[in-house]
Amino acid sequence: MEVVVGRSTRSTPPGRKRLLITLSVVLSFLLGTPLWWKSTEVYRSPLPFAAIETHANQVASLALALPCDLHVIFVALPIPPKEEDQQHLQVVVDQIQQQISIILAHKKQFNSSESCASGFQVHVTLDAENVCLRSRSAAGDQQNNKVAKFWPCGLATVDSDLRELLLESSSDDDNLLDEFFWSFSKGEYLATGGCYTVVLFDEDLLNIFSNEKLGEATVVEVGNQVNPISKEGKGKRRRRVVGKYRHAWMIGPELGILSFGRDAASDIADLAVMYFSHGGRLSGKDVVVEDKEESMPLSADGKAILSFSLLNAEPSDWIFDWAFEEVEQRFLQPLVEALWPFAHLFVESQVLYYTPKAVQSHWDAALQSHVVPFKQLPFFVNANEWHLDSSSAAAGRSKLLHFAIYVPAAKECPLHLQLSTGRISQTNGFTSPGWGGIIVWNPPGCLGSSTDNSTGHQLSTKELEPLIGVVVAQLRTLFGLPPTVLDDSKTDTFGVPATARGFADWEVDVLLRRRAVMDVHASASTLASLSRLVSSLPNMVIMDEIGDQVTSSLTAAKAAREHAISGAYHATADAARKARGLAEAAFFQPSIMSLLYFPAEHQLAIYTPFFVPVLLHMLVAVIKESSRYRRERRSYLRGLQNQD
Amino acid sequence: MQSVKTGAGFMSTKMVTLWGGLLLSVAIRFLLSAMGSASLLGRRLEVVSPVTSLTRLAEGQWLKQLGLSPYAGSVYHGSPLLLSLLGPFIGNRRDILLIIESERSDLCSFWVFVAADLIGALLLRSMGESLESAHIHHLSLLGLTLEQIPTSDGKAKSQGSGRWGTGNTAALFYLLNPFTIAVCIGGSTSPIENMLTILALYGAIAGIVPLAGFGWAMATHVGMYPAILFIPIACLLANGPDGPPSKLYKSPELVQAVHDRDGKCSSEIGNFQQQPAMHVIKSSNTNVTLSSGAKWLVVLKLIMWSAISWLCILGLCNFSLHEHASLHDMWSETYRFILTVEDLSPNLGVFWYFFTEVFNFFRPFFIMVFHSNIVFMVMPLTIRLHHRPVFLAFTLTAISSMLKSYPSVGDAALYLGLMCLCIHQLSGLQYFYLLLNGYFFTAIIGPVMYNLWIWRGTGNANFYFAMNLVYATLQTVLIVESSSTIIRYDRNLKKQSVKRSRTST
Repeated sequence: MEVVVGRSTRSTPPGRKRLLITLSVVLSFLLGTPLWWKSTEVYRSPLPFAAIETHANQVASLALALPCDLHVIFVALPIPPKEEDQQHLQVVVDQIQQQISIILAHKKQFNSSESCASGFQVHVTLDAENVCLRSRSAAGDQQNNKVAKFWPCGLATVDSDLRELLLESSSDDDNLLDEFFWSFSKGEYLATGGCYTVVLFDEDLLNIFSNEKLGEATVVEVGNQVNPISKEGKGKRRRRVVGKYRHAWMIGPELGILSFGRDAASDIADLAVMYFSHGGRLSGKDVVVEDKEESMPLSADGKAILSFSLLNAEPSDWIFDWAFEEVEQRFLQPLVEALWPFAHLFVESQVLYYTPKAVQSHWDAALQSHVVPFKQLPFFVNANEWHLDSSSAAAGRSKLLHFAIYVPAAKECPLHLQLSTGRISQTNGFTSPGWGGIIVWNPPGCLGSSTDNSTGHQLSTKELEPLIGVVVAQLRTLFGLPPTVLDDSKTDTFGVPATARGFADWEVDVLLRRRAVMDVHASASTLASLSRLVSSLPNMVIMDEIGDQVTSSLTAAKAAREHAISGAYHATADAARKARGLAEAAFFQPSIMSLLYFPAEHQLAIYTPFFVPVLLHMLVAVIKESSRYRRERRSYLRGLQNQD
Repeated sequence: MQSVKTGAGFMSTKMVTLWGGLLLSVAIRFLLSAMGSASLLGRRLEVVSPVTSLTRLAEGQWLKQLGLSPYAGSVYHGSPLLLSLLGPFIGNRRDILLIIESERSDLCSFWVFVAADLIGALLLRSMGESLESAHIHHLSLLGLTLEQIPTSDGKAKSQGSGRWGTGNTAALFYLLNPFTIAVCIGGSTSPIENMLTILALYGAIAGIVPLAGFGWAMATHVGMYPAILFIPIACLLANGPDGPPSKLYKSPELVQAVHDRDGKCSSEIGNFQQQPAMHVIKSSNTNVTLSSGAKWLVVLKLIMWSAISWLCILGLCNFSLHEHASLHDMWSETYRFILTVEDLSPNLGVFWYFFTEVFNFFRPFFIMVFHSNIVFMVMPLTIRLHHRPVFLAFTLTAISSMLKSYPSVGDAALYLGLMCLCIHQLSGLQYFYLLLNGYFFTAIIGPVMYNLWIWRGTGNANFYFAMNLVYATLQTVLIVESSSTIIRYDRNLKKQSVKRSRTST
């Protein structure tokens, strides 16, 4: 009862307890403030915005492009070692080089992403038995910092094999000749991509060869002498063969160093542009077959999983199994290795049961088989019952390519796919871009003969080999190449199929160029959108990791550019892939994904429910208590004065 | 002589009631356990929290027997000492549902928990007795008799319950509380945790510094949240049990009056007080008048004993874990697990719902805010209630049980038991009926909502969380109301004693 009623005095000083209590609560809030500040600090790792922008601009203005060299080799007999003759020949060589260069420069380049930087650098070499004359520009190439690659002359002197190969015309002589060229010129000359050779054999030279041969080896067989080359040579046609490495050769008239004409030069240029530059995808004159250049079935970091599934549609009829490890070792491993420079492919396999297809087939009496028409093919894949996704693929962001081998049920056994023309598909398979391919495999002797119910047939490697051939063709299609090497008898162009690897070296080069350019483009655009995103959301946390990824992506892109200038194909592809992968990883970093939809207004919603009631109460208490204390103290002081 | 005789008779009936109550409580536990209610309760999230679950402890024991770290797999989050203590009893209980197979070991662990409850109750009883005698002593110092105990509503209180004894009430209430029973037979380590907390407070009331230090260290080690009870324990040791604010004695007129009365009628006090109670008053009287230097000395001793206990505990933990795990693992699986709220499965608390929703970015901040809710109330409450340390301990326990990350009804059992110790002061508690019904309501509707959400699928998380909010509100009301009742009681006490001193002079 210290406080006497009314606004009179009090005898004791007012207690400080209530004030203390209030202040202790305030104090704990004050202590919490730095912790609040620290824990909700928006950490933003500094991103190199300027560097990203310059990178994007560079890519937009000048795409990354890998250089190509075209070596044109004239094979000739010994020439008289006279000084003026040689000088004359040198002049001719230079002229030819000029001529081909000009023709190439006038040829339109398509699909700039996969073509070579500034066309081809043309080198002409006269490889005679005693002389090796190189065109001047090729010799003057050393001032560029790239290692000049020269044709190791002396093809004509290695007389033994070459002549045999040129003259024989068995079915696989192209292949043997290709192998010969490769073993002759391998080494540094063909270490990485971008260096193509066209070897020219004049018809006359072949005639001389054959005459010589006839001369020394009495009678071979007269019929054999009249080979297709000379036959077609009569019609002024040149046989053009594109090898499975980086060689091509032409055999025909007007291919000698002195008889070389404009026609032959344009033929060479055609060959170079059409195959070495565009991967044989220009079917006719200047028409691009495949127009979707961005469709390469790879993930951002250049990976893809080839998932092979053997689908037993009706296991009660028959069950097929395969020894996939062997298949993988024999057929797929070389392919994976061949594509490794630009695509990291991984292989996995599974066998599935009870996987009916989603469309109905009908019996076609004329074709003696069950037929799925062309129009129905898009519905062939039964997404509900084909559990093709395997666990390892689901984990990462890698691209999955399915190759399903479908074994039909006995009741529709010879199952065939019908083309739009009405004929039956030879490969009995089809591809679906970005998804993979499907092959229908009919068990042998399923028509007529009663189904033997002995379960567990093991598909032998021999049975699988044609299927794998189709798979490789499908894979080529998916990568945007023609399914098989072009054999065009109209233009007399032949290809040497890359039997083991499925992809020729020059095709890999084309794909690599395309992929590298795409990678650099993608890295630039991804980084640009990342920087736009980051600058548009000021309260987004940017971890150090993202900053590191952006920086190293830029570094990799720069490295890719430098490697591209020096013509290092593999290093360029590696760096470009790294640039894209890092850019994507930075963009899809989980820590920024969660804050993507977090506007600044949310801060209000986060803080108000708890802090507004608490702080309001606290403030009211502070005001009330301090005013009360002051009032009481005043009355106490008044009392003291009164006592005095 | 007559009065002594009736007193003895009363004593004996009291003892009969007490022991009868104890037996009854044990019988209830045994019956329920024999009926296999452990399998029902063992999976109730109200009874078992991730920190206290015996099933998890069994997992830890199993891992330990395999020679692995008991914390491997992040299932067990309790103390290694509990593992060593309870592991042998629990060890071969594979699954809580296979109760028939493991009945024997179950029975063993059952007796451990019943013993823990009984010890806790007996400690509460003796705490209650010393509190009551201190209460009587303080009243007599103020010149008020037991008959005239002022309640907060100003009415004099009937004498019946006063004679019965706070300690007995608290002990029986603690033992017969459905929450305590559920926790005891439901496969949770809470009974031990509660017993340790009560042990620490008992040591403090009895003035046994080593016991208080040991109890506090053990309780903190097992449950972490009792750490804040260091302040009430220190207050108890330094200032003695609950009494009116010391300001009351400093008030000059009152002191004068007490002096006069003490001189005049010391014999009179002896008449209306019982002899044993008088003895306790004497001892607590010395305690009250500790000089400030001695107070600090006691606190220092407490700190020392706690430190020693902590060292022993850590040593034992290290020994118990030996090669399998380090103490660092223990910290990160117990305290860090509690603090960072890693397990977001639903429980009685308010954390899980919030932290499933909150932006990851704000998570550390809000974890800090939620935990600091407990901490920042310690100081103001201490300033306000330091003269009533047991009540302060009740308040802090209640607050921490409301705001802890993995609460269970075991925490409620503890604070309700402690609350019973202040039954004299809280007899004027308002909304008692409402609160009681609220507890019943949440105890029934909470599981129903959980069932609707998880098993029937007809409700959602909000249904259940709403009940959590109701429960938290109830506890808030309980804390706020009991605090204001205590403050009102103190004010009344002052009023009454001043009135009394006026009339006596």
